[in-house]
Amino acid sequence: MRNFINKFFSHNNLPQLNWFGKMFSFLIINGYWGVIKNPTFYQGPLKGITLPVLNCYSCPLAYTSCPIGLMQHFLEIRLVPYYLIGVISTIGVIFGQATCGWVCPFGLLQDILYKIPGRKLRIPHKLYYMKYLFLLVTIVLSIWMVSPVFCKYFCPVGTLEAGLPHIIWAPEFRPLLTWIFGLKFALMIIFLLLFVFTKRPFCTTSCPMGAILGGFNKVSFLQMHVSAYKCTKCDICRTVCPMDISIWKNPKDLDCIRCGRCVVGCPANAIEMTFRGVKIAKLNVNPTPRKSDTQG
Amino acid sequence: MKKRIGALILLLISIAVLLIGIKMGQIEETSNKGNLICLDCIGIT
Repeated sequence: MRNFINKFFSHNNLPQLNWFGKMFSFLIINGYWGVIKNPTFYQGPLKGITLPVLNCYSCPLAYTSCPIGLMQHFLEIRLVPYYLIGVISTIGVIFGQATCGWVCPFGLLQDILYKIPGRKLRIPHKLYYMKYLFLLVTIVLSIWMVSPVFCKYFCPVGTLEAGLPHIIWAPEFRPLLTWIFGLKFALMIIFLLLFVFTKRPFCTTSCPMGAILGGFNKVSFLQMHVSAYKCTKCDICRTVCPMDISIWKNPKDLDCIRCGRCVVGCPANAIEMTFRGVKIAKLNVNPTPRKSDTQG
Repeated sequence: MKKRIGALILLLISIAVLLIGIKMGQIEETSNKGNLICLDCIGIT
């Protein structure tokens, strides 16, 4: 089994595997295509499942529930969300923040839009701390105002995945729209534009889920390792990284989404991915970064 | 080695918390919440 895993991951196919993983997850999490025949949304037992990725549960295609929406709901009804904490921490301890890089549908959208050619910008790393503020404000205000403030006033995922589809095919909702929808719609447009010019701006600056999961990168079974002997500090790992981080500076970086692009992109072959100490992703040949990976 | 054992203990605690949540019926609560249209997510309040 170990040999199979080693062989499967030890080639230059990690970026392709990552794209396949994200697409596959998108189709599984948002797999309720019956909505085409019957314009409603999935209502069933699978909504009892929550995964540590941002995917609005009111999306007509969604099979699973959003962890941030759920967290706010439990805070509103004054219950400790043991189930949610258990799911997030179990997956976090095993995979760290890898679900952001391999599963999250909103991450997939950001990666796709960043592929649009043009001038690319870098987000100052100080702004990366904003997501912790978002998490704190979400928790405090959800308790204080007894309202899902993140979903209500900010979340562009909800506007894109739930707001727009429901408003398009349910005319009865349109007269009920308030300035809040206008605010959320404007935020969504701003984010969609940012997705074209910067690497994962929502994940890096605003996602409370990423803020929670990032903490597990310090202890997770899935880890990145950088060989101090091989590393030339050329910083190409930052160029190919969808989160724009220099993994050689800190392999346990709180923002690393374990996508493995740096493993393939490193010209010195210095970066490895391990699972409980077992190497599962390393290179067999000396790579040259692909042009599409080095944009920006 | 200490870190690995620590992570393993953390995993066991996480699974225990998850089981407590399941026993308290929080999957049903999650399902009930998820099966309603979230008007806040749409922008209607």
